[in-house]
Amino acid sequence: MASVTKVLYESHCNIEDSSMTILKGEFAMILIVSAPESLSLRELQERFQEAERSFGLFIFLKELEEIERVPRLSLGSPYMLSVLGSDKPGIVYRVTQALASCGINITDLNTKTLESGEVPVYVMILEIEVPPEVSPKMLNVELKRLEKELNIDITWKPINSIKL
Amino acid sequence: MILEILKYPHPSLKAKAEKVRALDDEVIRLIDDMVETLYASPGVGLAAPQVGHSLRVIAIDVSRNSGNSNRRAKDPGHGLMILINPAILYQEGEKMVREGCLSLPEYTANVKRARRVVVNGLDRNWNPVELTSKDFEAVALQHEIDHLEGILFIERVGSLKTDLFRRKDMD
Repeated sequence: MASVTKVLYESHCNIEDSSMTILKGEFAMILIVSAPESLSLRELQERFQEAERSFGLFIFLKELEEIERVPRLSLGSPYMLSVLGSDKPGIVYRVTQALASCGINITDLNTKTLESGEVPVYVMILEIEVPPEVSPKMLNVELKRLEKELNIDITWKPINSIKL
Repeated sequence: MILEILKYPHPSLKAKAEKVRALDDEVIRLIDDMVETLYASPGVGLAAPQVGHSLRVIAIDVSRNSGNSNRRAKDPGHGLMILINPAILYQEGEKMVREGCLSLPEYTANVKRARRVVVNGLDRNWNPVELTSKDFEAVALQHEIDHLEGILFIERVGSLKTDLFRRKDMD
């Protein structure tokens, strides 16, 4: 991490947003940086060579079009949805597909396989926005159908939010 | 008079607020202005440091519509509450709430709060009060009393990745 941020600092790049994660020992980081006009993409890429070699990193740079800075307008009410079941192919696809077909937007998704007992348990936690035109009843029917079909447990509840 | 709600990093938001010593004209006017400002805002709570007065005064009214539009009947709590020199005497339970703050607009975050609190302080007529509050109102009390200590909700967030959100219910 320090090897990457050192290059950015020395290149006068400003980190505007970043996120890192480790999945089974694999480290990954995604950053949005603003660089000085005088610094070319190729030049910056070259400055990372040392870090790539020493730490076995793959660093991919991409120039962004003008970044959308305007906050997105509300698409509905936020809900938290959790999916739990024995690991089997298609859970993520089928659940996200069902949400998409209802016109529901996914704003966050995390998955994990828990290897605690004999059978690995698959956990998926999503944050979704249910637009006003989608009836919660209809979504419930759809999710209940999926529960049966995939033999998984799905629970969802509104996210309490308070403006202070 | 509607006051300007200060945004972070204004220093008033990070200072520990002073105890109110007496109910003088300045404090009475501040309370009136805070209530007016609160009702003119989309929020359900306001602390004096948010309007540039480093004094221990908060105004809360959770009977106002707040948060999700599709919530079932809300608990109106105590209605409009003015507390001078408030203190949390007791708290219990735990509740994860998605909070937003007028001094840090555009963002909401998951914050862990006590579900029930007992607070005391003085009301707007300088009479001592002690009250028990739960759920939304209890969260509002904790959030506003934090403001008096110079603490913002963002400082109670566990993870920027999983607990901080662009405000999804923009007004």
